[in-house]
This record gives sequence, structure tokens and C-alpha cells, in this order.
Amino acid sequence: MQGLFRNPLADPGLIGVSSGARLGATAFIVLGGGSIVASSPTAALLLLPAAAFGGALLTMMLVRRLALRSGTTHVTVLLLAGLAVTVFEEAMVGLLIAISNDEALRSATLWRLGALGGASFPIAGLVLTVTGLAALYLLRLGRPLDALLLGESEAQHLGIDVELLKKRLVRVSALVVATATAFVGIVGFVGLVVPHLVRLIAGPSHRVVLPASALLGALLVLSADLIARTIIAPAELPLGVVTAFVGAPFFLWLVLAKGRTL
Amino acid sequence: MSSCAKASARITALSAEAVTVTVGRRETAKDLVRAVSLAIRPGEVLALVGPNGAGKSTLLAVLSGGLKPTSGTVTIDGAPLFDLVLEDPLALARRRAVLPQAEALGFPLTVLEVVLLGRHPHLLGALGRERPQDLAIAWHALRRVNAEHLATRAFPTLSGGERQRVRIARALAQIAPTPSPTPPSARYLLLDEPAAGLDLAHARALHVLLRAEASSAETGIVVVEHDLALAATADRIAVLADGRLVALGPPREVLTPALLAQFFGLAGGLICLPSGGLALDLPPLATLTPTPIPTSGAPR
Repeated sequence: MQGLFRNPLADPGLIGVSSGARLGATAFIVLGGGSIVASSPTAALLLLPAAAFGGALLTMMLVRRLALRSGTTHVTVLLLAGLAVTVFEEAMVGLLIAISNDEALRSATLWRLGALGGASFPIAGLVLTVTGLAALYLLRLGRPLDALLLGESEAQHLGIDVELLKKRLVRVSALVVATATAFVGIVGFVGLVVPHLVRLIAGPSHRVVLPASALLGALLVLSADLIARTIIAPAELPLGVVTAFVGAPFFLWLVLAKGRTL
Repeated sequence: MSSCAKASARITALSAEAVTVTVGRRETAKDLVRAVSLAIRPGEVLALVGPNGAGKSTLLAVLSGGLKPTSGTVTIDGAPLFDLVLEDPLALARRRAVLPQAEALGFPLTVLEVVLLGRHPHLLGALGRERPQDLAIAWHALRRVNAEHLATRAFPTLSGGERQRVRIARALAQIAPTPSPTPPSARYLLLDEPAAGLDLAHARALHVLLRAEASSAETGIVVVEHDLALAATADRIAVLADGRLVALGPPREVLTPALLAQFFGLAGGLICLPSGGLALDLPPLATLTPTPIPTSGAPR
């Protein structure tokens, strides 16, 4: 994402995927999920992610549509459209929460903050398959992404189909984010901070940043999950709270310390 | 005469035939480039000059395959350029490099990494790693622009002139042929104001380098250049004004006092110095009063 926008502050939430997932999940929880959960917990376990996934994918399609200018993806419009759609969807979520009952409110809020608690082997397998395939696919885009850093026209002149590259990047990252978010909820700051950590250690080439970010990201989420589950045991802290507590100060430090070179 | 060029598939040149680029809708339509025909042959340096807004960058974009003209055709060695752009952009990129005007690079790739990206079209598959010869070509390109010592520096930390030299090295590395049994086809290098931000010594060194690249590597070079004295070192000069090609030929024949006055609003001329060099002879500023520069050279 940061490579696509050529902006170090980009993360997948920017194009509205995360908020789309949130809207889908909240709508499901508030508008009728309750009765389904009561009648069949297993169905709910699958339907909630499906709702979140649907929300995320619809949002991605809408934002991409908005950013198409005579056949080419306008990156600035993509960003601004993502922002506008995010704000609108957050408002819808607010509306839904206002009409919800206490129990739905609690589960919607907890979902939003993210947790690995729902993990079981079939679900983990599914997520692993989707993200694994996507990661392999993204690896192949390493050098074209590096070339994109030189500027869109320079990448074009190097023989890279920039439009196709942008389309693939947006689709694949939306798919991955939608899948992960659907089952886990929104885990803040990982997508933003991890690539920076990797760049600090190993330099900015995407051929290193892409695989290393995936590994380091998974490692950090697992560590955060460990903290989340143990620090106030037997209760469990939402995962998103832990990553945001660590991530936000780090992010601020990054902006302040590296502000001049960003 | 011009239709012969299209008929023969053997001709080696990057050539534009009656190219027109129009922007805007009916009433507000404006021709950025109007019915321009010209051909660049391997081994020559063609300087593209003209006042601001004359259509130089637009014409360069058309010649590079980045912008499809509203009408007219562009061919590279006899083949339609825009077919190649769609069918095999990597093959095109192996024989045609473009240096657009500078864009910002936000992430600190090293200089060597930037130059190596120029080898992208030569590598098999996106996972194909750079081979030793690619590395050698990248180092050679850096040496040619006097930037070898910058190789490990982060690109964004360089000065404007240093960045420009590295970008030029990237373009040179892109069209450097990989040793192979088949003779390499003609190559073309299109540069949009490559001397922008370079000091006089480096700007001159750049033109010496372009000259050498053209004659030794059989590369056809088009260079947009604002400095008329530097442009006059090219084999041919093409003068664009208001989207039209108003003159094309050897510098000394083209850059006449009449042309400079009409299209550049300059009272002066090109003079031959005792050293054999060329200089632009302009009246001292003190003798002039501030006057608006005509926006379009051609009288309506």
C-alpha cells in the first residue's frame, strides 16, 4: 500500500476496506445477528465474517470505481474517495450503534478492537490459504513496485503496465485485508508500522519489504495476542488495544524523528 | 514522400507522421502538437527546442509511446509504436528509454538500486534476479555520468544535479544491450530537459556523453533542451512553436537571427567563436526595457 501510494503513511485502511468490514459486521450484529446467534452459534461464526467480508469487498469496488478516470486509476482520488467512504461508513456504524441494544453494542465494539480468540483450525487454515497465496503473488510484484517508486511515468517507460499493477495491488490487498479483518476484527497499526520497521532494518526494496513485513507482522500480532491474553488474565484484552497502545507512540516517534526524510 | 517511410518495414528510425495532439472539447479544443512529422535515426542527436508551452514535452510523450496522438502515426523501425506498447511493452523498453522531467522519490532506495531498476525489462520474469552483467552495466552507466562514488548513497539524499545524473545513468542502463549472438536492434533515448539542475560543466559533459552514446552505440537520441548554445551542439535541431514544427535542420542553418526573433522573442544570433564553439550573442540587459514575451511565436 505504501508503495502504491508512494506515501509512507499509507495503510490498507486508507481505501476504506477496514471500515467496510466494520460496517458489514456491525450491521450483522445489530440488525438480526442476535437472533441467529441464539438459534445457531455455528452459523453465526461463519455469517459474521461473511458480512464483514462482503462489506469490505463492496467498499473496495465502490472506491475503485470512484477513482477511475478515463480508464486509469487516479491514486490521489483513490485516497480521497477512500477517506470520504470511510467517514460515511463510520457514520453508518454510529447510526447502527445508536439503535442497538447493550449486548449487540458490546459485541460490536469488541469485534472492532480485534481478537484472535475466534481462531480454530479450519478458520486458520482458510485465512492462511488466502493470505499465503496472496503473499506469493505479491512477491512477484516486488521489482515492479520498486520501479513504481521512481514515478508512474518512469515505471511505464520501463515496460511495466502500471494500470494493471495498480488494479492488482488494490484487489489483492483488499482481499487479504477483508479476509483477515472478517475473522479477526480490526487490528490497528500493524499494516502501517511493520513495513517501516522492516525498512529501518533492511532498506526500502520491496523484494525484501514484502516478505519480511508479512513475517514480522504475523510475529508482532502473535506477541500482542500473547500480551492481550495474559496481562489481565483470566480476562482478555482486545488485541487491537494492545497493538494501538504500542503502535500509536511508535508512529508518532516515526513522524517526529524521520519527519524530514519522509 | 512521407508515405514511402511507412511502406518500408526495413527503415530504422523512430518516426512521427503528421502527428496531432488535441485536448479539450469542441469549442475549447486546443492543438498541443499540430501535424508534426519528423524522424530520428540511430546515431544522431536531435535537439528539440522551443519557447515554454510550445509542445515539446507533448511531442516527446508521443514519440516515447506514453501518449497516443489524436491523429497521425508513430513508427519505430517501421512497426507501429502503439501496437508495441500494448503487445510487448518490455521488448519496447529494451530498445527505448525515456527520461521524463524529475519526479520525487519518497523512499530511500540506493543509487545503485535505482540504476539497476533500469535493467528490469531485460530480466526474465518478475522474480528474475539481476545477473552479473546487469550489475556491470549499472556500474558502467554510473561511471559514465561521473556518479560512481554515489552508488551506496540513498537517492533522496542527493542534490538535484546528482539525482539528475543518476536518473540519466538509469536510462543508459535500460537500453544497454546484453551481449548476445544476434546483433542488437536500433535503440532510442528520449530525454526531457536532462540538463535541468546541472551545472555548466555537468551539462556540457552530459551532451558529450549523449554524442558518444549516439555514435558508438548507434542510439538515436532526442533531447529537449532550453539552452540554445547546448542545443546547437546536436546534429539537428527541431524548433517547435505553438505546436508546429517551424524549422528542422543543422543548428547553424536553423538558429538564424530571424528565427530567434520570431519564435523566441530574442534579439540576437548564434555566433561562431574563435575556439570553434558556438555562443548565443545577445544584447546587454542594460540596453533593454522590460517587455512582455510573445506567448506564441507565430503571428496569426
